[in-house]
Amino acid sequence: MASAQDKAVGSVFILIAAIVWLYYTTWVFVLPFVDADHFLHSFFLAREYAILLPTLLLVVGVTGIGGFIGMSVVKKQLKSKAAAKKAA
Amino acid sequence: MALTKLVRFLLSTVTFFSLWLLALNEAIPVPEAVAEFLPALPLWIIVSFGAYSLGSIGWSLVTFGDCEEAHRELMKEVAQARDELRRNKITIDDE
Repeated sequence: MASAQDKAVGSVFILIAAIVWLYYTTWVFVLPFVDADHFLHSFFLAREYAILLPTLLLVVGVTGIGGFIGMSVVKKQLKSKAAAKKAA
Repeated sequence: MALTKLVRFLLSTVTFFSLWLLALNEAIPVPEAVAEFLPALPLWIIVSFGAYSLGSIGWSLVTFGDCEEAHRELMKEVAQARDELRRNKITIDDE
């Protein structure tokens, strides 16, 4: 079956995904209905961050992907230009 | 023209987004409890989708059957192909 390393990496992914999802779902759906002085709130940052953090991550992620695509395109163009110059 | 998956996806996305905007501006009646988490709803959907994607990748990694024999056969075929091409004096530009 899948190598032990693959299994380890896979289970880590699953764990991270589960934790992130549970934390964020509680943050968005449960906390608004819990009294402000309940100890549960101490585990979570202020609610503004529930909007801020994912948005920030999304912006950084999309910028990264866009930058990588742009770099690949530029590299390809430079290469074809160099090849055309060599053939000329 | 045919209703492609992209069109269907865009339709459902635009519908949900407009309903969400309407609810946010109280143009449609919204129960008070729902109004608590309404602003964060689209972002929660995106985060959930990200978590689901990561989890499904992890799950595939854990349950994927490693085909040892097919791997060996494939490596043999790759070596054969490389020798044949070299014989015919074609160099493979491995970028």
